[in-house]
Amino acid sequence: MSPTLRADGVEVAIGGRAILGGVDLAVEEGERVALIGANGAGKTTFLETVLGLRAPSAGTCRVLGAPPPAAGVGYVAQDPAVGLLPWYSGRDNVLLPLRCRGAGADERRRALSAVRERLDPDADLDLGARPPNLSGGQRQLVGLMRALVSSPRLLVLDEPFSAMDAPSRVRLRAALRAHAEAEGRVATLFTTHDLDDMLELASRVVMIGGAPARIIASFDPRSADARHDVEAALREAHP
Amino acid sequence: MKVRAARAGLLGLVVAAWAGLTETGLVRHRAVAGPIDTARALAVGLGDGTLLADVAATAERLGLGVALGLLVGVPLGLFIGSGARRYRILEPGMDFLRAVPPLLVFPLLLLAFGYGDLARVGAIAYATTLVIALYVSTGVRRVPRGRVDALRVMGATRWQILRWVQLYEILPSCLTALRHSVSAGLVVAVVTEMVVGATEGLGSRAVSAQIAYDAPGLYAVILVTGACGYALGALLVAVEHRVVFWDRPEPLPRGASPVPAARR
Repeated sequence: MSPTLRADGVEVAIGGRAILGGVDLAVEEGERVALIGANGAGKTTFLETVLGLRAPSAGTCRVLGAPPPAAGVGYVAQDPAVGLLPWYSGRDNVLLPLRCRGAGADERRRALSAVRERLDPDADLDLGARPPNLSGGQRQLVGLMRALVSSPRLLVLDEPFSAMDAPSRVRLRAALRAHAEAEGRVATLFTTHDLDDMLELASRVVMIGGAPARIIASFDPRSADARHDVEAALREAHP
Repeated sequence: MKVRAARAGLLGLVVAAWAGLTETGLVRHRAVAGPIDTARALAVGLGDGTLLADVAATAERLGLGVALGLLVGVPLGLFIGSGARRYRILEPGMDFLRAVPPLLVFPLLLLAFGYGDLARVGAIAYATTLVIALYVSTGVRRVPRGRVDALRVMGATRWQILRWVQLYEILPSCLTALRHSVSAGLVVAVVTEMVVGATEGLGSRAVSAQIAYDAPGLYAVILVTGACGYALGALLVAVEHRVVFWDRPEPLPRGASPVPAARR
């Protein structure tokens, strides 16, 4: 069976400058892969290539067996203030992926209820409020709900918890992990700078680095020395 | 409140100075009219309906010209702004046309359409189209890429992206363009009414007053024109404020605290 995401020798140049220099990565069904690396290492560029927002100058990328952009992908942008539409309520933002594919009112209601049950069970978030009136963390929660509402097969999350306070971070990490485990077939690729995020949510951690960037290391977060190994690799790559 | 009181005070001062200089005979000239004569001319013009008919005639030309400007300028701005290469190709042409004063185009329009309202409306449309196209094209270029990208990842069609993102993004630019084009269009409307052939309109009334050495009548026209321009501008600012609702914070429900319960 082919992996949910397969990148073979992906190279990307922006403005004549090589950013990615042959990234090889496969993410299988049910895997949760944390992509780590320094700021500017090429993490977001790789995610954009996976999403079909950038075309590779060399190599191939296949998502769910087809070249990107592919249907069945949920995405949370790094900056929730940009990714969400400020003229719509939180609820309408969450439902956008379903509106895109013309889902009926009943389906939208059911999907919203299911995603809310999973990510915001106490209904703390006011979904009637528009994004400018929500905190950074609440916006990220809306973004996460939007990414999950259409039951995607691949979740691409660019620093999904960066604006959240510690309790929200812990709760959502657990909720996302529970979602991925319950759905089984969902593959997750996310970027983060937070060691706890990578060790508690990921089933595999890969490190991107170099100029142009490639995958330079891979870790098993379940191993006893994972935290130490990741910290040592980060220190070595970016002294 | 303080600002309003200061404005009223300033207006009172200006009128008092005006009255002091003219009604006492300190300044005497055929181009000078006092506030009392001006108020009388204003009352007569409004009372017999001539000034209101002039306002209506000018407003009709302005409305038609701005509507035409919107009809051409918005699609033109969308077309120019939605492609970086297209923008680079067409930008010099737009700058050239913007540098040509609409009043210089007016004689050409008179030649083309004759001495009727069509030429005046055409000149207003010319002036407003360029302003609107410029604002809209800038608005389109400023649409944050992240917003469009998020929709593209969801599988949105071009039409959905236009409807759900781009139209909202350019709305503030369109409304600012409308405000600027109305004030530019009013200038063109009044001046083209002064030049040739108009029997009604604020510009035509001003020229008639000048020919008759009717300084109070001329002042009345100036005051009415200024008031119309001010009222239109204020109306459009209010519309902008109402339509572009996402730029301002939502009011808190009665009794609600701005601090979330968890942090209190």
